[in-house]
Amino acid sequence: MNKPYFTTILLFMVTVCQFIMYVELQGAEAVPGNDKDSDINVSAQGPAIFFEKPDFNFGKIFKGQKIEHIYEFENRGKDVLNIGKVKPSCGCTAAILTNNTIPPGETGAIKATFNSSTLSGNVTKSISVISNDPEHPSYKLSISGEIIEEVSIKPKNIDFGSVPLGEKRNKTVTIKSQTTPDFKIKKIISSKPFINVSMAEEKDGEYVISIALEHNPEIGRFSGGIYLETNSQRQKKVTIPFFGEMVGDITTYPKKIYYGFVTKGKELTHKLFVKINKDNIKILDIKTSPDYVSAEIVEEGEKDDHHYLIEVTLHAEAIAGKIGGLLELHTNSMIQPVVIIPLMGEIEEG
Amino acid sequence: MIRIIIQYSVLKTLIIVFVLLVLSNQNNDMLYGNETGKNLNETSEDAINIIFTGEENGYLEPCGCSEKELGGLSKRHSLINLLREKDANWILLSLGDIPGKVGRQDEIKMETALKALGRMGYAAHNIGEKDISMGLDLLGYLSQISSVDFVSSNIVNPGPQILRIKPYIVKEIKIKGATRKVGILGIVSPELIDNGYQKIEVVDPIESLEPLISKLIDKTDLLILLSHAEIGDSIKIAENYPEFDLIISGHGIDEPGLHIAKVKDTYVIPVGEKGKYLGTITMQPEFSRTDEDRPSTNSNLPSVEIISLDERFGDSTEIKMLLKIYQQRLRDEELLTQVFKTELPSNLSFIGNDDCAACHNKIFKHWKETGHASAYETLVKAEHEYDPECIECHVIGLNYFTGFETIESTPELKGVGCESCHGPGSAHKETQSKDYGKIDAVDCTTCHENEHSPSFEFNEYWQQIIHPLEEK
Repeated sequence: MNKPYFTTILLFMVTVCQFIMYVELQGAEAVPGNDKDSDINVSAQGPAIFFEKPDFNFGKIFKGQKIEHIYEFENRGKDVLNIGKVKPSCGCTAAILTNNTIPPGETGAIKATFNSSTLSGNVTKSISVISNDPEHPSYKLSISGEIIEEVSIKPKNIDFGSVPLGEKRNKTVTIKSQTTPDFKIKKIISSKPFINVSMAEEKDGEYVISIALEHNPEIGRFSGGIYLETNSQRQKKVTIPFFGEMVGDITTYPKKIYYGFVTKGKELTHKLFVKINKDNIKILDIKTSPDYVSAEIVEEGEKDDHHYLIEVTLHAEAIAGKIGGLLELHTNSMIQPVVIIPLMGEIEEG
Repeated sequence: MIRIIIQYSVLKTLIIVFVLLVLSNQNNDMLYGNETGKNLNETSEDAINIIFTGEENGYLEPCGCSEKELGGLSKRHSLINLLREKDANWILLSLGDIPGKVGRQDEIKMETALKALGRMGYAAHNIGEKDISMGLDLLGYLSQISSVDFVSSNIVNPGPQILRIKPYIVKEIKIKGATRKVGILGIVSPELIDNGYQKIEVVDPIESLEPLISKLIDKTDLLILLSHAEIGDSIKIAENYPEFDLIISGHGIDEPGLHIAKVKDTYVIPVGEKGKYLGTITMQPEFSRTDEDRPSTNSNLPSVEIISLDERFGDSTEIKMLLKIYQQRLRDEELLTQVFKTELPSNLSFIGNDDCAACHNKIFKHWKETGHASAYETLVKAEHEYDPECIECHVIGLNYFTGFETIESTPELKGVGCESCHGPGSAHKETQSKDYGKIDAVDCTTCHENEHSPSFEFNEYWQQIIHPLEEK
């Protein structure tokens, strides 16, 4: 065989080898964390924990259902396997071990109970098995699946958005059960007196609930919940959160500026966002106290995006002690001629 | 390359082939086994180093009432500072979902967490569905005052409003005198958005990413996607767009180390949940796409590390301060008084420990010496006594009428008292019925669950509170 041919064949072989390796790496590869499928521990000198099926998928269940599963394992090593602890990753899973000490060649089991009452959607939770296996001191088991809400709520949260002072808002929520044919809502309560809640419609177990913001709270953000009691076996109690903000001519965020404990001599700046909700409203003047605090408008938006961005700086000259300052926005608004932002914090000696 | 090999003898060619094969196999081994073995003291000066976190789901810090709790923003900051001692060039990315639910407490949490991310030097926060569910107004305010860029490549901003979102950012870093550009995009899965929420439009990420990738591919050396989606959906994106070098993802996966995937050359890595982990990845771009004068370098495979935020890391003073301010705000806004309460069944009510002591004095005296009796003080020591989420497990009946309200108005209901475990005692006080208060070991896990009581073992803990027999 002459040299050029031989070289060509070798190059071809190299290309084939590289191609095979490339093909092997295609597609989604799970990068193993436990070497679960490896048999490297079969004849290990020390203890060797081995789970045939470390991953359990419960498929689809309804929220509130509990799932039990037993993970069986074997000591494939030559010394006694001691399980120190079985540690679920979340409060939703409880795990009980049958026996802490497993002689070589013997088997053990971990009973896991998964409670879905606080979860929804696809979840993957894990359980760590802490043992004296030198190769796998913390073996990871997984429990996964999809949790479906038996009581379907649309929308899940009620966002009233920004509500001008004096205005009312109405929202509706549709509620039905995916399994209970004679689904009933037995009780509805609002957590806030300014939110009225009533049953607007009921047809074939599908309820439409009317949630009305009627009696105005004061300017500022508000939140709460609509509490329902149902005849669903799995979701007897359901809460629908609501939130929003009563706004005047001017909205500020945040309402207070907290500097916390600041070392004397340090300068610290916070941003204050001011949204103008009504045409022709403007900031006429900004005053700050004490004098080691200053405020500067660094951005001003107009028309549909009428806002100010103000930097409020605590300067290095601040004296030790509580700040207790104020930022005053003087405006041409009739209802909010002066908006006061308290400045909180304390200057500490360095 | 081919020309050079042909000039060598057969023997030399065989040696080269052998070396190539050996090197290829070494690379494959690294692909499978090197993901969690990175030494924190090792960073590569000519690499792009990324830190990724996300899905805090409302967990800013462990509650502080038990040892061995994982996570927390202040431990995270300490670790970041440690990593920065070795290399100042880390790019910090947040996947999204800072709050756990809606309501004022989570609004304050989100503001606090964003401030903390700003102090830590995060480059981008991708918007998750829980961030959106806080309401666009609040998200808008936060986007205005935060120093961290909000990123989303598939949220359509419907008209003039205050929410500032960038479809992508490009972060420039200096490596050995050369500038390297990292393109960072972000998506939220439309599947995760509440379909009753009409205020925002979230488009199919496969559609929205294409024009952005075309725009960025030649202008960046590395493309990273923050994919707030279930891991299967992120893998589909990786299959569609091999241009991404890294996709940070995961949803509902609490143990990220177990679910790292690789699609062709793209790593898909989950972040874990509740801020318990911090992920790092060190990548060396194979060649410079943005600097034609810079020669190609040998590509090293990325090194991925998922680090548990455990007791190895202390608390950062700066972030501790923010968390202290968070607690002060809960107090100032009197959130304890706004806890939603429901009625107890059958007109029952809580009576307090002193009433129980009238008949069960021996048990009461024993209880006074247990950790349950001082559970409220434990919370005061941790400075969390105005936190509605914490106090629930340190007082009696917070979520019910006649239960704990404030320490001033209901001091008799502080601590984990008789009725915390046995239920409201009003009827039992009247009737002395024998069937009152039977409980099971599982009931303990209502509070002693893994997040807040990781060392809990029923047998061991039960010995600490087991009631003495009553004198007849």
